[in-house]
Amino acid sequence: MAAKGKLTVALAGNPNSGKSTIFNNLTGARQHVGNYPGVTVEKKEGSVVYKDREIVFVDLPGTYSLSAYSEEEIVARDFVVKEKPDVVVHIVDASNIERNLYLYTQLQELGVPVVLAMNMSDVAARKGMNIDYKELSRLLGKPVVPTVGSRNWGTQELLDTVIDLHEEKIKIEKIGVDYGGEISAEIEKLAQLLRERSGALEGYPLEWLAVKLLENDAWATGFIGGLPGGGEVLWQNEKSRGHLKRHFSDDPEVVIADRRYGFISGACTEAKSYSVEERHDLSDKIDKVVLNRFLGLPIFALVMYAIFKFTFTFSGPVVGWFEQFFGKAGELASNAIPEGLANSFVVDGVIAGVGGVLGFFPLVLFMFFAIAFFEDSGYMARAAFVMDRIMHKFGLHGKSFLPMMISTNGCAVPGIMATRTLDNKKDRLITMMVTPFMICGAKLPIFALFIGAFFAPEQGANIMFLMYALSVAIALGSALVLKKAVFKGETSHFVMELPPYRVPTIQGLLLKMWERGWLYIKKAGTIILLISIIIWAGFTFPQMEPKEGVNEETAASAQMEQSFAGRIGKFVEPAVRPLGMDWRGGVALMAGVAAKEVVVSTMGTMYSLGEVDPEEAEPLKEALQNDPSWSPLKASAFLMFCLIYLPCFVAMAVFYRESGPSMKWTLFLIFWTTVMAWAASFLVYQGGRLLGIGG
Amino acid sequence: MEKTVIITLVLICAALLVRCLVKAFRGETCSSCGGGCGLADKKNGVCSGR
Repeated sequence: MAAKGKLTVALAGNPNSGKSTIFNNLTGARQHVGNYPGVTVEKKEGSVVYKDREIVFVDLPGTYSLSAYSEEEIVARDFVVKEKPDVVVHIVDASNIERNLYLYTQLQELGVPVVLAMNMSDVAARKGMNIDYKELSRLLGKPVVPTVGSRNWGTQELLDTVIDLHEEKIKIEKIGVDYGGEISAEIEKLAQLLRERSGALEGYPLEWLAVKLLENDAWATGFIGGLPGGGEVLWQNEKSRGHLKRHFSDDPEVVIADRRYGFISGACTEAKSYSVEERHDLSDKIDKVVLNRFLGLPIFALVMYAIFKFTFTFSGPVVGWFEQFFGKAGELASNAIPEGLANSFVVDGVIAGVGGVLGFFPLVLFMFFAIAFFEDSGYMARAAFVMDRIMHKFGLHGKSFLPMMISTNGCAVPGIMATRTLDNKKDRLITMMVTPFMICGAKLPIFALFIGAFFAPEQGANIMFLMYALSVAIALGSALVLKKAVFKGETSHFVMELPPYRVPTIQGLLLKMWERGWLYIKKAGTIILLISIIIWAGFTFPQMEPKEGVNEETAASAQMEQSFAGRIGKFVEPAVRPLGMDWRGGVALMAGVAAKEVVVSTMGTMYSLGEVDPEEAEPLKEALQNDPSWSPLKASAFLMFCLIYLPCFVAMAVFYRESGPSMKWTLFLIFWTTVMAWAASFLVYQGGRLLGIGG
Repeated sequence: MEKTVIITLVLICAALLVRCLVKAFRGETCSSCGGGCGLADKKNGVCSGR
């Protein structure tokens, strides 16, 4: 007799996955056949008493997915959602694992406890497949039991696992498909509307329903349409579907299916050698080269080099036009406004400050375009996969590389926030600590300015690539040190998504480039403008009367040195002097903490204030070149400092929040990045001097 | 007069900047960084961490 409570277990799986055989093995003769209420679909039930428990098994109809394509699918789905079985055993044909796991991606979205029975594991082995079940279990966050139904192998292990899972002796993790930013945002919008009607949803999970609506699932739209206020949800769904269709140039259901297959491909690539569906065949062929153990990394390096080469080659002339434009604007404003504070405010504060940053707008656009191309083609997901092997050596994994790439593709803020995908707190903190080392969009103008000023134009892409490689090396090195010294512990495992390759659409690329580019302009017109004005005020006040007999240039220089900003610069000068910088470098670096572009705008304001004759005003790049206090070696040390030193204030605020909030770790981040930056910059400058590279 | 106007403008800028930084600490990231991250959820102005 069953002494403990009754357990209901549903068996789900594709047709021909050996589900019925497993069902028979589990239940023996104790089974009966009926129909699900209201439909002609057969319902098989059976029970067994195992370890003092009565376990009732319900054999769900064989389905490939949980969409509303057939009665069977609706029956299977409704049983899981409404009857709430204690455990769902998903029978997977191990010899055809990728196609079978498509159903799994939907089951896990329903939030039910799932055990994966990898059936026909003998057939898989005969086909030469080497499946690491333990690894697969870790990647999916669910227990995996290999079985051979035809020989009744693994049945007892399956029963044990079911009971252990129910008794919570085995913990499951919620590792689901990452649909990507655009789709996730639309899912959240729909889920928000559904949340307001959660009382009428009959237990269906909100996010799952939202995904179903985006897939244009006939049952889901009918169900929601019938609810009070459902029209509003359907209206939003149409809007969301339209947006996704425009963005991806494809139906949302196709893109969602691609993401699911990407998830499966990622898991299977790590746990076995594979070939997914026919539509993924070409992707597989490309992946054989791109993900090759030896070729993967050089190809990734080549792609990054190509991005920088493209950016510097094509943006160069346009950046020149922008510089000329802002130079002309400064000249016109200078002639139009009578000499005095207002003139200096507009010319040296607003135009030189904001113009210095906006001058690099074309470069940022070209860079975003190139990155968007590799993102949309599906390559960037492979880059993370390639990095996974290397990251493991440094105590992290490819999933940690994604926030770094997000940082490179835009900003450290979403990069830090993207670490939320890491469940392991230690991994998360390490990734958050190293993500700001990457060259974000805001650091780009600093590098472009100094590379343009101190290195030959044809060397631009090479130096930029070198800086990028350095940023990755510093991030990995830091991760290793932090892992060994501060955050000891095991690295957790994740599934890396591998979406199929696509030919990016011009519309999609331009849209992405413009979205990011527009935000660059917006930032320059808001926060950078505010800071530029404050920096200008810092250099302008308190005003001193020029001494008699002193020429204008000397007077302007003395005014800056005596200003509030100048005094702060003089105060920090001893700290930056060993790095080859004078007080002006120190001020620019300090101002850059507000936002990294401000390093450039501060330089713009400083050099503009130093100009005596506006007619002879030279672009910032030339002003730097002609300043004897700078040299290529000093510029390299300065860039090294900019590469590593503490992230901007907003990134620090986000770090503080996301780390706990923890002031302890935020202060550690400030200390760690500052010390590292100083040490690296010192090494470059003093090392260069010792080698006789320059003074 | 000119100096008073300019100093007032600078003070307004400083106040706006402080407001931005306070917002950043409160978690209203994207409106405070001016959308600089490039990936803000435009509708509610909060960075979704994409």
